[in-house]
Amino acid sequence: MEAPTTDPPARSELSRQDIKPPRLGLQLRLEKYFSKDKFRIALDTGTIGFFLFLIIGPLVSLVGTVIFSWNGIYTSVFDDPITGNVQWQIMGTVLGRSFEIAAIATGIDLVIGLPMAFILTRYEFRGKKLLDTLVDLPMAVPTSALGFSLYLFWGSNMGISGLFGLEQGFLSPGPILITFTHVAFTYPFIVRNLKVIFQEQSKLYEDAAKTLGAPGFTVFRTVTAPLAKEGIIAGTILAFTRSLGETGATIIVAGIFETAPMYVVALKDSLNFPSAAFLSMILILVSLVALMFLRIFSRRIGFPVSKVVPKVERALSTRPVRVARNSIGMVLFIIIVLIPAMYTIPYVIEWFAVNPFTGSTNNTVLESLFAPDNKWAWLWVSTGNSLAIAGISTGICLLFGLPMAMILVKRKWGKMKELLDALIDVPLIAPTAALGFAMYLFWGPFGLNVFQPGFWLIIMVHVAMCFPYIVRPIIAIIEKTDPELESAARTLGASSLTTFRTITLPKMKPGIIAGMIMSFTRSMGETGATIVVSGLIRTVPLLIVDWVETRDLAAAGFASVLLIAFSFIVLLLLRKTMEHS
Amino acid sequence: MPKIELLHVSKTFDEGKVVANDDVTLSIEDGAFVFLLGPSGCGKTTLLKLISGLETPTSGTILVGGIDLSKLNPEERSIGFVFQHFEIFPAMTVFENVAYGLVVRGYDDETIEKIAEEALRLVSLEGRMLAYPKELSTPELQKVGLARAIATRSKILFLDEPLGKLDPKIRKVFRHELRRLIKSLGLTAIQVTHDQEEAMAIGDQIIVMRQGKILQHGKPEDLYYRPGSIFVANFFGETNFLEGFVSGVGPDSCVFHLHLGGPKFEIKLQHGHQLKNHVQAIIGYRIEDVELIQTKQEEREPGEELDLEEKPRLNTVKGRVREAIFIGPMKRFIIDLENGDEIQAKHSSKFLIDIREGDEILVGFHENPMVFEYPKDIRAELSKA
Ligand SMILES: Nc1ncnc2c1ncn2[C@@H]1O[C@H](COP(=O)(O)OP(=O)(O)OP(=O)(O)O)[C@@H](O)[C@H]1O
Ligand SMILES: [Mg+2]
Repeated sequence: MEAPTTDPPARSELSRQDIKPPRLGLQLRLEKYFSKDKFRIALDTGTIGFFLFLIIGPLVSLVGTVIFSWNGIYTSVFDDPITGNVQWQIMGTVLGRSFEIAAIATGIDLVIGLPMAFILTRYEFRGKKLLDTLVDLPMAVPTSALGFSLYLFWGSNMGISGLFGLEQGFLSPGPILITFTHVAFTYPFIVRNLKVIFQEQSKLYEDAAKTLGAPGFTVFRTVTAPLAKEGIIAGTILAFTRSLGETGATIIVAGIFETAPMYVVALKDSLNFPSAAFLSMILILVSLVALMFLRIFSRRIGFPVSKVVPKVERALSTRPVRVARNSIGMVLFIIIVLIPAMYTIPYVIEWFAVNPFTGSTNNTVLESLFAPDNKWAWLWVSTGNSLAIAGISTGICLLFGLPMAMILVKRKWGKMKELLDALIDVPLIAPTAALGFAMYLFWGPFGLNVFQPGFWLIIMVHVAMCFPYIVRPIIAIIEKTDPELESAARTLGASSLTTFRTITLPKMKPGIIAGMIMSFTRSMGETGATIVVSGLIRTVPLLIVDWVETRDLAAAGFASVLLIAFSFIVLLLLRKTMEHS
Repeated sequence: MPKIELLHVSKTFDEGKVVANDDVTLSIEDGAFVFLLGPSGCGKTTLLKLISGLETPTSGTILVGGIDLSKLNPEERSIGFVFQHFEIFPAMTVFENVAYGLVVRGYDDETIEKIAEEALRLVSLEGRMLAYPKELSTPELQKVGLARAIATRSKILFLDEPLGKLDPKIRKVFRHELRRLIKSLGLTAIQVTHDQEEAMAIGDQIIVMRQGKILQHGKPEDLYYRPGSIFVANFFGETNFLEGFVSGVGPDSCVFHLHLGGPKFEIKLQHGHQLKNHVQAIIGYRIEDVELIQTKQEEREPGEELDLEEKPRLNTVKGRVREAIFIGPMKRFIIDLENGDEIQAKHSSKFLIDIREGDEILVGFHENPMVFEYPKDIRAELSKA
């Protein structure tokens, strides 16, 4: 019994003709002015130009170096008068080793990460939030701190072997320890990726399969996995390339065994630029191929969905098997990832003032930090450097990332835009040392000669590295928001910039914040590329590498904990903002 | 065999913050086609998921055919489920979708083919066997969902708003096909819908839920003519609710005062009613049950007298027609009663053609209205949520 609607009274405010539109205020007027096409074009051009300088330039200059100094490369790599093709053999060895480690680490991650991702998305239980945070935790640990932590846990007599009273570490630095490190380091990436996929995939398909009588394992194999296939492949390739390119943690746990990115650093340090360029190019090419593969083919790969074997699959779906699978996934996570990754913290606490075994003050954190070589001062100077670099690079990224995200979503440029879209991700998967070296060639004394190794070159490298971390979340949010909202604002009379400020920007806020925080932590922890371009400047991750090399473990441990603390606080902020959005 | 019984079943989410089902006790006979209705978010889907094992009850017992289901996984319960958004597996063909339930049970190819093809024939989709879901229209997807569920030959079938996405015309045809199919297979079925008319047209029984509780469970006619609450009365059909108070309450009748000193209705009460004397009450009349009587002399046939004695049990109130709205076969009237209340009436357009906007008329109310005690929160009762 609603009251019937009555017509508005004839003399309503809505029909008055004598209300004049007011003059626009300054802000609105400016926005209207700058909404003109020519400004938009200028902004687009500026953004693209910046991007070209940032990423394409270095890549081109890398390839250029390889081509122009091919003769030199040929001699030194394949045909050295003294060593012959030893260098090529070394490259082969280190590349092979890198691939092997990346493949094994990714494989292990997949096996122990799948159940975890499933637990985190398909079960409800107490402490789920905590577990979720714990899984992400290693991501908050910057790679060199992570490497150090794993070295302590597995490789030194202060870790797990200490529990068994052994004199030496369980694993000496080398390929196996590198693999362990890479497992711990890529684990959160894999689980996170898988989690997103499982979350996005409607649980209802699985429900449907269950009501049709399929036991749990069959449901996973025939329904979940085929739908999640693209995501699983994408996550795997990402983890693989990250492992392939990892430098910071690897340097610490590698001992005398070099990986490909480490060899780039070594070649650069010995001023053999042509060879360094050659190896960098190979590494970047591999990543690019992986990226292309990801974009083009992952959709077309079929999953073998052969006939169902009811007996076996039913057996695999029983409660005991399920419980066993979940607990193994959980235990492996704790032993292989969580404890090793966080081991520095108890270590630093234990070794803070006195040696827990002898009671002396030798090799303790305090002694090491306040030794005559003034590590304490170094630590705070480099903390200042790290914070400044992270802050400035994040700012620059945001400045150009916002318009870039808008371009990638809104402009209709066809193929050209697709290319741009793909190139954004290059820093995400290209080995950092190789990328850093490319940027050194481009900006440094042998290229444009704008920046010398040091503060500003580090910033340039970090900007390139963090760019995708800022752009991607913003794009994701823009794509999710309803474009009709903006259309509505435009039909109500708002200029395009006013629409952007009042409608688009507020929606993007969580994405922007998330991106900024990601970028900040990434920059704080970056090691591989920073080493290549740092010159005499030190960031905290570099200090850790230095101190591990000089065997000042206690000081390195303290620096790691400091870095972890910073990153962890930032990660918490990230979670808070995500929850609010 | 598959009688469904729920005993004190509750389900909460988010550590008790969201109560989806609240102490539901319910019994559904073998072979019944039951409709589940209620406002959005009242827990209909959750209830079906609890019975089929897709969610676990926080407390309470669920029995099917006398067997406690709590130890059984969903795949062991053999309850067919047609989902709200169909959930047709996108990577499989129509045939593979329909065969899925048989494949996972390990039937041999020949049997699978026979049964799946028959299921597809029943929903007349045999021509689309090799199509992929993305090539299908919404009604076709809906049919695949149905065929896939019945191909497992479960004796119980749940349908969560299966017709929700179809357009109204197709929907009206399809609902009868659906009923025929379910009856011919001898299934016990529960269907969720938001369409009251659909529920009344093809359901054997209707369950009305609200805020996780069951308000009423009964035959469509019972719910329509003997609603247990204002909410249910308002939920089905269109009803005029009149506020007033009662006096002279006897075992089977009372006097209803529209206002102190205003119009009085003599009305019948059902035996065993709970109404007290001299309290506020609400009575309800379906809008098609409100009679309109022309009082203007010249509009009556010559010789015909205005004879209210002919309709002895009709309570009348004077009113004035505010709006007369033509809606095809019917005409809807909005009438201001002399006491200030507004009521609506709906009648066949052919009769009452002469009642126009502005006419003074008599409005007749029969003696068997729905009678309710005055509720604590009248607004909540009259909202549809
Ligand atoms: N998995 C879940 N987690 C948390 N809350 C849930 C979950 N599933 C349902 N709910 C909540 O339980 C209540 C009942 O939901 P349900 O889906 O059963 O309603 P419904 O009657 O089917 O609604 P609709 O008519 O809109 O389909 C809602 O408040 C809903 O938000
Ligand atoms: Mg529902």
